[in-house]
Amino acid sequence: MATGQEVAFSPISEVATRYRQRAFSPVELTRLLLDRIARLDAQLHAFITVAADQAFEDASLAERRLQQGDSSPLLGIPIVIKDSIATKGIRTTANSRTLEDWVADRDAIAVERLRSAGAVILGKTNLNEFGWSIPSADDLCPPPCNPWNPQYAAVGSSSGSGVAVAAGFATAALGTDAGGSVRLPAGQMGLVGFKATHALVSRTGVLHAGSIGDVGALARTVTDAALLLNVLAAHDPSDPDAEPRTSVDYSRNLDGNIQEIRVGVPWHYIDEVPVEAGVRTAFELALIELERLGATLVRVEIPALAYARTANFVVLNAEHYAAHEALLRTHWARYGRSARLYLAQGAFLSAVDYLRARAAGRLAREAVDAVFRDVDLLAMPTSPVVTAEAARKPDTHRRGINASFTAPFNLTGHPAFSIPCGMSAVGLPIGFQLVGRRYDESTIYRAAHAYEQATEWHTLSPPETVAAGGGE
Amino acid sequence: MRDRLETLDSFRQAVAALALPAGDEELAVLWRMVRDLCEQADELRGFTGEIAGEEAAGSSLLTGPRLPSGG
Repeated sequence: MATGQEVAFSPISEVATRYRQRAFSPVELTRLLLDRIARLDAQLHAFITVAADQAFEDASLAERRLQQGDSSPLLGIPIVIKDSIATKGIRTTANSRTLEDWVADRDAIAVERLRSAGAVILGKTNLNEFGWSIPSADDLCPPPCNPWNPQYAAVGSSSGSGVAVAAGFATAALGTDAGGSVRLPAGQMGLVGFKATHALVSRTGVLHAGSIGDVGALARTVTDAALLLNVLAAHDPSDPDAEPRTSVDYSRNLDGNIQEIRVGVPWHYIDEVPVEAGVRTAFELALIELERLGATLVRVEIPALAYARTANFVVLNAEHYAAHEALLRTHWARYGRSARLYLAQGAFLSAVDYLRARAAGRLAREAVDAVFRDVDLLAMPTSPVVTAEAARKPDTHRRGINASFTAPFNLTGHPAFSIPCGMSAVGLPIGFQLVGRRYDESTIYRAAHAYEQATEWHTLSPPETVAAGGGE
Repeated sequence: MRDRLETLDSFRQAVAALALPAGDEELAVLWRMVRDLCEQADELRGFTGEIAGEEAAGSSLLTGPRLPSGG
């Protein structure tokens, strides 16, 4: 019989098997996780809103569907939603006092798809206000701590989603990613985090996804990430960026065979970025493991990546200001001290700045596509630094250094995943990133799964004593 | 707008013209942030290839994917 601790940290595939074996039920698991949240989240701040009543309703419904033989892929799976993604009946605040009590009248399409697949929505998770800026003390909810070592903050912006899965509060989470906001917390909290090809997952119902933001997810294993994308990927005709595609089963071909896969490593770019020594070592060991598994490593040159990082920052700044211009004028004091400055700075960019940054994005995409004629994947660290504190140093953050490896692929639209690959000296996990051709998520899943099965990083979870002790 | 970034005073006037009610302390921080951001935006000029000269200007104004240059 599994202990509560084991169940709380089980991946989707294992929970589903135990439901079928009637080892426990969706209502029992929901109760167990809500108890953990009540006991531990006062220290970790993963949640903005815990939706206990609705979660029990979802779980009861899932239980009935299970008894009727329903085999929906996420039946009874407890999932949390970043609080910038609309949920009918549960407030959506974006961690901003400007939206403190706002309740959307319908679910975002991504949430609708999770519900249709049987998911139990436990609540809404913490984030940097509007998914931008860095947290400040006067935000609606205080910033989350990293459950691996609560002396450190959790990196964002989908910080609460990462904390919820890493701390055993939920089995998976939705986040959004416009510069690395899913992949960076996944990397720092020992999770798999993905941003699929731009607009493959519907963005309808996300608070200001902008032109390059996407919905992504955080999970415990590569197989779980594949199950989630199977549910989430769907053509959204209301999104002009979305292309109709034939559906793909991303959980197929996770067979460990990566013999013919060529992995490009942009060493010149990695060397330009101030990567911490521990991150570099973990990344180099991950490459050695990929090579041992049969992949061929190839040194590639993509000078466009540095420009793409900068262009991403310019695009995001311009679009955030455009979205918030009116509200900043009338509700300046309702925004957090950090958020209002980050949102306002885009006011001083010109139309030419914005158009030039978009042009840079197109050139970078061509450059990355050209490299993908010779290799199947690109590999690099997920983040150059381990802690949120290092990522938030003003000079590092303002120049987007912390997002050096993630932001370029929001601008180019390529799919990118973070996979756990090591542990730092301060007890926080380290991730590395695999990037694929547009719409070729399957090759990323294959390589990531082979790597995951050959290593033990995905089997680790934060020491319960640390999570329970909490506090700074 | 770039000329409004030269001094804190001209920046203050620009922020006031935008009707953004930033306090004095915030203005100084925002001024540094904006100057840094605009500097980054300017760095993209080299990448997107703004070419001088009449012939090159013609190429840079063409709509559609870039043709490979040279023989």
